[in-house]
Amino acid sequence: MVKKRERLEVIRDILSVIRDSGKMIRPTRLLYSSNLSPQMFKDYMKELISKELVVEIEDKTGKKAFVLSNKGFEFLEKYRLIEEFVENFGL
Amino acid sequence: MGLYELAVQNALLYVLIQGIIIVASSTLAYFYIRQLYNISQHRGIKYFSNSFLFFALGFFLSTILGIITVLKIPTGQVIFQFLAAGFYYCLTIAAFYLLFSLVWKRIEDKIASDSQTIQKSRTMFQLIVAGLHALAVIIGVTSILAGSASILFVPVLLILLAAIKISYSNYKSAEKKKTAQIRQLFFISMLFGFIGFLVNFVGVEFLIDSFPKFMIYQDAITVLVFLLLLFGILRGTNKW
Repeated sequence: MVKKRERLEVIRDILSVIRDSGKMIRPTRLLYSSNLSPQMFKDYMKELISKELVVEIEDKTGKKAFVLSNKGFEFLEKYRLIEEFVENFGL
Repeated sequence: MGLYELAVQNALLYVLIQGIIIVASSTLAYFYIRQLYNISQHRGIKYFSNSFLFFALGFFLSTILGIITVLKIPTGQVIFQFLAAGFYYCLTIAAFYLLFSLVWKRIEDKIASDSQTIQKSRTMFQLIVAGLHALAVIIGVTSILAGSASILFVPVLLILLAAIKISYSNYKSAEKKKTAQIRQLFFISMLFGFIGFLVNFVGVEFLIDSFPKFMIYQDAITVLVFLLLLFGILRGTNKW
């Protein structure tokens, strides 16, 4: 049975996909890569946008796309430290 | 000249040194942990950081009370009781946050399985935290108005006992060496915190005549606990 991902892991995975896609990524492709249900994906994206880890933009054709914010890049850099801290103190 | 006599002769310095060490170490711990929360928005980190915020505020108030007592500043009973109730409230809510940071995930895992229940659990946690604040205010105010230390000490001792049990269990289940070291440090801090608080309770409630001499040891334990916690957090945030 696949272990359920923790919230921080899911956020890391989503942000990693956006970072690795180059500059921007369309919602459908991100949903497919995130391994989340559509509802969970919607909830996570809402949270990531509100927490300014991800920015929603319009590409040249006027379609919605996502890019990583500076805060999102910082999260990925510090992810290991955060993960270790949570594990070290059992939070 | 004994330690107690030395402390009495330099009472203001004693109060200030103890207060500065505890407030500074709690404040530093709060800011380091808060940096991680600002990036991650992890709720356990938030509750853990809030614990140190309220410890810092509480012991700041305690230091003010100590200065007022030593210098015999005529503040009036109402202001003094207000400050004391504030100290008790901060101490209680700090202990609540500490325990909550260790158990919140277990509660969420039990009740939240899909996104809808996760949203509901967040609302529930906000209500729980509000309830804890209300309870801490009741404990603080009632303890002062009733003139009974038990109203404060007993709940906080029970919280610390629960934190000891959980932190010991976490320490024993650690797989990595660094994790085990930090969890062991955390467990020892909780244990010393409990012992210090118990000594304080026994002294205030049952040994009031001879307690002032025990106070030195209780204060030393309190300072040690906060220094241990700060050391653990510096290790945990790779700043040591």
